[in-house]
Amino acid sequence: MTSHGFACLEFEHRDAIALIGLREPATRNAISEAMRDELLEACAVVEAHPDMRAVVLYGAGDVFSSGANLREFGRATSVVEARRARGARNAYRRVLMLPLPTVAAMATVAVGGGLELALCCDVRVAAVGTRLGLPEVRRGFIPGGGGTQLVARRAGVRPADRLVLEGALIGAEEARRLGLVHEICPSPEAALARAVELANDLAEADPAAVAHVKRVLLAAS
Amino acid sequence: MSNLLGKRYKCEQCETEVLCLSGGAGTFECCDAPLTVVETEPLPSAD
Repeated sequence: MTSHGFACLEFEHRDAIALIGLREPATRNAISEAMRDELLEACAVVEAHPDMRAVVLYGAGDVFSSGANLREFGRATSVVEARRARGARNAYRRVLMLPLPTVAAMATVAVGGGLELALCCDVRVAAVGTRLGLPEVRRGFIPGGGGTQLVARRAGVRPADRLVLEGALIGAEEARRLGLVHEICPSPEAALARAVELANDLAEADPAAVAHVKRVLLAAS
Repeated sequence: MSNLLGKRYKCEQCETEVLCLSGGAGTFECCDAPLTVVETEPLPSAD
């Protein structure tokens, strides 16, 4: 463990991997602005640290994330300021662009911004019973964390259209069939353990090669 | 005061800036003075 000042994250450097846990128990790990800022800091550490070769992203308390914190919405003073702020603290893009392998361990719920954050990871495992989806349209807005693009990239355009337009939640098995989830594990603990196992395996690859191939894969989409 | 992982610290005299990759109980110093935490720019809500 290392000493950190994160209020919304758990952070552990274990062997060659960094484990980053979303931690806002009162909101089922909703992604607040503070959490996004801390994710940006955590990503800076992971990218700069010579001994961190992979990342596991999980939710503390066996819940991945209930999505963006909706109570913080609607406070931008103008569209221009909103765009500037979004660009300045785009934690989703930061995770997507990390030059290290990233593995998300999902459990219970991964919806809205929570699913978008997981989709920014290279590999996704989910516990049995996890509910996933992008229900933003049902609340009057669109997935703004890259979900519209990433679902199409991970699952294909047709499933993406349906998932985003319907805004319905799906189970882990259907998500796996669509390609949104790579593996299903019997419990949240097993999902996290499997994510750590996968990350340790991915961490053995040459870091420079991984960084290059991730850039190429992103460019290919 | 301790050094916190993820925080950036700056020397007010020579402007050297460091990113803490592993936190600890110590205090970064430069030019015979403790470094100060670089605060993130306050931004309005993005949504």
